[in-house]
Amino acid sequence: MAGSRNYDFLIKLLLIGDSGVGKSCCLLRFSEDSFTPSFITTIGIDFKIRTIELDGKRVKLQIWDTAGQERFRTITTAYYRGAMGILLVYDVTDERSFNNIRTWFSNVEQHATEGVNKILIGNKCDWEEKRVVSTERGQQLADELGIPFMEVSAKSNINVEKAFFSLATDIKKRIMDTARAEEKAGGQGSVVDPNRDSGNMSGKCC
Amino acid sequence: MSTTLASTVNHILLAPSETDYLDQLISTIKDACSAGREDPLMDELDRFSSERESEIERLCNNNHQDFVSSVNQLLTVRKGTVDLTEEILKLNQSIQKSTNKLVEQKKALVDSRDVRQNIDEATQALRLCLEVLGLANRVGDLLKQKKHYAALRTLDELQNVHLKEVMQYDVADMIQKSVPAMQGMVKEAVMTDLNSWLYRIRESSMLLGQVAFDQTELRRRRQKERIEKSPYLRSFKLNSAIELVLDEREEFDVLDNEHINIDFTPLFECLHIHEALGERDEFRVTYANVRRQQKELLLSGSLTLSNEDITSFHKLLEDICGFAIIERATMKKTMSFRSAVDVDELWDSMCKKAINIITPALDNITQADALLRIKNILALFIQTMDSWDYSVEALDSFLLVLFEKYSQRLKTEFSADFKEIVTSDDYMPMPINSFEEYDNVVNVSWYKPDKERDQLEFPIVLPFSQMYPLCCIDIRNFLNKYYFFSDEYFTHQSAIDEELQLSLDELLCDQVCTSLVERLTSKYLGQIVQILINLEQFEYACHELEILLAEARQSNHGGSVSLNATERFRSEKKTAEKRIFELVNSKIDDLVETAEYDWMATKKLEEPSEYLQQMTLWMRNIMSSTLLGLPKDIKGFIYFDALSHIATSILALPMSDSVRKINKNAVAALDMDIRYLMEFVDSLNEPLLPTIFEELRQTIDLLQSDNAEEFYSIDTRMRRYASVNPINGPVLLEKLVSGAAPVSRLARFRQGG
Repeated sequence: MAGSRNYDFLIKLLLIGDSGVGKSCCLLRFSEDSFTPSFITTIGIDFKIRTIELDGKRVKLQIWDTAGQERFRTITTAYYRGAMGILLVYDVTDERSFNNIRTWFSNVEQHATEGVNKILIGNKCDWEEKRVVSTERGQQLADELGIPFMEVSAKSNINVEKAFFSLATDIKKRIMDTARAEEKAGGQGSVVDPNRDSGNMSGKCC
Repeated sequence: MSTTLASTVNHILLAPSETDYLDQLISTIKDACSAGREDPLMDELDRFSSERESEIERLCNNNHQDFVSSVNQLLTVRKGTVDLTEEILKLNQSIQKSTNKLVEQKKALVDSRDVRQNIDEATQALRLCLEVLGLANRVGDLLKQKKHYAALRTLDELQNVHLKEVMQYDVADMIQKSVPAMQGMVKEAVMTDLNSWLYRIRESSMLLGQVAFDQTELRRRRQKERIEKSPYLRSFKLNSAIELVLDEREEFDVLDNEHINIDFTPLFECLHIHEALGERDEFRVTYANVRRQQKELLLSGSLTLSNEDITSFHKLLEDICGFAIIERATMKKTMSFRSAVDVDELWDSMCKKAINIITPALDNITQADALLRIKNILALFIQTMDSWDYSVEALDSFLLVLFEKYSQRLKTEFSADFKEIVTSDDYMPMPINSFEEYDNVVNVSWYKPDKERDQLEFPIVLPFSQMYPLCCIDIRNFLNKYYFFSDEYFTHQSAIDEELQLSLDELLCDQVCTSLVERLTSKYLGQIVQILINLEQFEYACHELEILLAEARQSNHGGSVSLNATERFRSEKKTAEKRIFELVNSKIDDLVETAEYDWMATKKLEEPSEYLQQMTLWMRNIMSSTLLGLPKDIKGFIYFDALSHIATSILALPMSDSVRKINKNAVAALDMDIRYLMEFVDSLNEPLLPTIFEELRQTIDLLQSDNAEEFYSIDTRMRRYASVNPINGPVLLEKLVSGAAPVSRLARFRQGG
């Protein structure tokens, strides 16, 4: 293996949700801790890298940011498969984006790897006067879908870090669990190689 | 003796004269006495007396009867005489009586005559005096009726004709003495009239100015209509000889029309009166002073302007205009009363003062549009004043100052606009859904569509983001606003051409271009790509603008126009291009960093590395989305650069110092990856791209070759491994271990990593 590697785990995440809900802004906040008020539409696909530390491990997050616009749907769908965690983002001030979460969820079910970690994110929670989707409704939907839920604000830097960390922690735990289970079953080698163990999930670490 | 005596006595007594008789008697007596003969003599004398007596007796006896009758008769006569005398006395008495009355009457008559004469004389005097007084009164009446000159003439007549006739009377003296006072009254009255006239014209000068402005505007319209009918008139501006002649038919007296009527009578009268009084020069000076004071008063205040309200400016100019027109009219209507020098001096000082008042007030005008409104009013003013033969040089220069301010404001405004446009842009290719939208965009932009209009099928996406058409609209507005300034009147055309070119260039470079370049720091590839496309569009727009500016040049400088912005946009495209390379390469680095080559793999892999699959997917995706709108040549560069970077990065992996050993399985994995990559490149149908992988390909070939020695022979090396880096080749060959490595070595290696 390449000795220059500067991480222990590589986790690939995917942001999906309607156009304008603030996926790129969440990512910008998380990857560079900045915010741009101007509306920038993601064209096609983009990704950002941030390496975080979890339980003493360096976890490299490769986060794919998809275009919410329908016309890029064919491009973005291709990224579901490689994702280990998916953030379903809606805008608490936009009822439609919330209602569309079910559609996004079914897309995930259809295209993503089985067992992929998911989290429901309600963005723009700072904008109380414009809010149309209550926290309760968000929580209710998350419970219904059986996934964690968090309200965030990329603008006011509320919970963004927490959301990504929470998702990353879940994924790392899942991978470790799977690896341990396989280790018990296979009992091969003394060194855990999640890369190989969770090969079908594209999870890689060393 | 005795006889002699007697004769002597006889003789003596008969002497003819008494004296003689007495002398003779005396001498006789004496002689007698002396001769003692007294007695004889006595006797003789007695005898002579007795003789005489006897004679008388005899005589008397003879006439006695007659005598008596005569006495009777005399008595009768006497009686008649007494009666008569009495009668006469009576008569006399009666006459006496009647004459007395007559005398009385006569005396009365004489008295009456005297009285009458006196009365006549008094009457005459009174009549003259009355006449004089009447005239004097008439002067007063005439004054009341404002017939000042008549009053003055009457006064003159009074003094020179009528008063002379009655000089002996005190009243005449009094009147004589009051003449100067009355003249003074006349003068005062005309001066009062003049003052109220001056006040009135001061009050109405604004209206006069307004009417004059309206008139100029009307002339502008008429000239425009004429130009529409006969375009050759275009070169003749307002106030040109041609225009004046053509407009001659339209008679309009600014000073006398339905809106205003400036009656100069009070001035003429005043002038006339002063002339009559021989005080013309004094009056001239007084009038000049009054007008100067009025001018000072007119321009005494300060001006407060705001973007919304420039009424005070308008009013000031109207006021000045009215004032100056009256001056000019006065000059024309009078003979050597207002000198041209005076009037022009007054005008010059008014212009100077006005400019001094206006200049600081302009600081409050922050909007170019408001400045333009000011310019339009000023231009109207200049043209109006020009038509009244006033020098407008100072105002023309001021117009230039105004233009500079205008240009400044425009730049500020448009800078803000551009900044806003650049900031709020979404940096997305512009979607167009209908012909209407399409036409709207294409008409305002400098854009050469790839497709004919009738071949379009909506929705389409135009290459530039919406900032481009928005900027184009702004640029067009910007240009128009510059040219608006020269509408109607501006004598410094070349200043506009020069300033416009400079300002536009400045705006394009400093605002549009710089703002775009600043945004290149963005980490969004899509945004950078869009910026590059926009830069390219702007470069094209600059070319078009250069042509447009050259054509629009209103001064006849000719020659082509060259904007610095053209070159700026062109060169900044390179900056954007570099930035795209940078971003794409950093993404490539990010992906390559997740490469998971097991250099001492125990078995061969069945499919290409995942990082590479992700790489090609990502590249294919950005090529079909993010980079899609780029010009073909730039796209080519980017692909080339990106793939070169991939090739270099992949080659760098086994070259890394941390990689000590490489086995054949790892080389096989590399080989599979390169093949996979080249398939991808071939699918791009870009002829030059496959050459990028020559080095990588040949290096892998070398590592897979059973006879590595070939590399060290120049012949075969040049033939098969010409692209292999002469330093890298041996290093990699050195790392290559033959045969599958044992697990223990792999484990050891891992611990080292």
